[in-house]
Amino acid sequence: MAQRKKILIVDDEKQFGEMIKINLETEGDYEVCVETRGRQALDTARRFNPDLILLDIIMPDKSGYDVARDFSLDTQLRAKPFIYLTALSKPEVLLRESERKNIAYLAKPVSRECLLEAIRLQMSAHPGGG
Amino acid sequence: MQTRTFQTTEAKALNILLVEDNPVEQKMLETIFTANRGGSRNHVTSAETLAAALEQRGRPLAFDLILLDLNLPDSEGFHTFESIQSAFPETAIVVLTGTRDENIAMETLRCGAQDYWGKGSLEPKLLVRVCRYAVERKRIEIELKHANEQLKRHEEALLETLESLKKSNEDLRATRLQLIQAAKLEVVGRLAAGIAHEVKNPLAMIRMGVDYFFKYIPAGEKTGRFMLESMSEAVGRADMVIKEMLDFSSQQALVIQPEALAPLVERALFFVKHEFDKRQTHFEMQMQENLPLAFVDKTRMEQVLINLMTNALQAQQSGGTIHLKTSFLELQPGILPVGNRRGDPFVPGDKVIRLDIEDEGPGIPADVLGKIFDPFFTTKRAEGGTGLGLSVVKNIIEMHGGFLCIRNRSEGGVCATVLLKPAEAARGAA
Repeated sequence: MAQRKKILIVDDEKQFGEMIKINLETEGDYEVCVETRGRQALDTARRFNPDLILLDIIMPDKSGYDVARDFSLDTQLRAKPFIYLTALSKPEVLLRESERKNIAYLAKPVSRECLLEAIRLQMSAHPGGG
Repeated sequence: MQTRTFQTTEAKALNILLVEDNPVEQKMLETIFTANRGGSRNHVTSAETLAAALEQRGRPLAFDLILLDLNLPDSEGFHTFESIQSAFPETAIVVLTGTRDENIAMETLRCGAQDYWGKGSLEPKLLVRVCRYAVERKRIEIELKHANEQLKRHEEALLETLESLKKSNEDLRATRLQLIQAAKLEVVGRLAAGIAHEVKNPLAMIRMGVDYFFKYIPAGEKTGRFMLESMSEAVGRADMVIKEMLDFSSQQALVIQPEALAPLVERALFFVKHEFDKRQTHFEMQMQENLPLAFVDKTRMEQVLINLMTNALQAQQSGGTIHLKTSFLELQPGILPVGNRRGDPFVPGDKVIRLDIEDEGPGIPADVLGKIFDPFFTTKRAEGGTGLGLSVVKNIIEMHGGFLCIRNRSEGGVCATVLLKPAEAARGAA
């Protein structure tokens, strides 16, 4: 039996993060960590060493785009697959970073089923993340 | 008491045409006018018949005066005057009359002769004076006429300027309205994006919560399941409202290419097919063969078709048939309310692709018809209508330089007509 996959959620809405955590953990396969501060995301990610990151874009202290750029410059985190999970309807990420293959995008409100499927797909497409 | 007399000596010489068949009178009149009275000598040309007088037309030196006997061997009375007047419109005419011709002489005065002279009272000095006055009056009359003509030309030019000013003003007002509309849209767009973000976050949380409970609710828990389904549907509806609001205010540029309409209709149909089946409504399509390609943004035009078909379906309630027809035609005046002002997308004579979607519903009440394109106006609020569907459709079509008109059919039901530019014409205009 493989080790439980680790997922980091970076979202300033604490309750939303916790709800996703509950939904993912009750699914059984995941260990989830929630970070609500964009500025802390890099440190937390280094410590937690997730297999995948769910990243909000609009956050008060640091945008998801900036967090993602920090990750892309970090040797430990560079190859990690991540998913923008955002309430923006047309995030610029689709244009700006579409060439980076380890990035996916989900629009809020996303269904539990859809979220799980996206996580599975991203992980199997980028197994090097772990 | 002093009488002022006309000073012939100071006047310039007159060039006179004398039309008189009586040789005695002719001679006498010639003598009167050519007599040298210390001034310049007048020049008299004599003609005995109307034909001979008319032959003088077009001489290099124009006559100042015509002395005209009305009764000539080849012409009688008023007719003589008419002929001479139309042949020499710029020459003063003094009619020579016998005593019995007084009535005709009065008539010639009314019709433009400068004066008349009874032959019985041949009094040289007076006659010369009458003639001088006649010439002077004619000169003033002609000057007046020219001035009038010029005035009229100026007036016409002024009216033309006024007309073009009116038109510019109209164009300006239209442009201003467009600008206001664009500015409004921009505000709505920013507002919508802001609201969307703020609303989608809580919606996301509700979705996560609802989905969590879905997963763990016991299969037999009917009431609970109903609650969750209702909540889930409500989240979906709220999300749809936000999406439409964003669509409505979207300022994204079109990606326009020549497209065949038939595949677009098929694709749109694919999205609404489920609704057709649910309502047991038939769909009939009459596509004209060899329809030219239209210059459209595929995705947006699909959205237009889906919205219009959905509207038709909803109007229908259930059963019946919805017709979709396409044709390629030259616009005739008066058939559709297409404009004929500058800036209107189409004018009569334009070749257009026409698409009609007809339902068999109850039609649109008159008090509603004027508001159907107003953003947020809806008669389907209870069914989740946002009042943005038709506004979006109209915006999209107008961005294509097309035309949308929705009207009640005389046979009942509503017809939505879309006019689009064929790819050729659109390229030509670009």
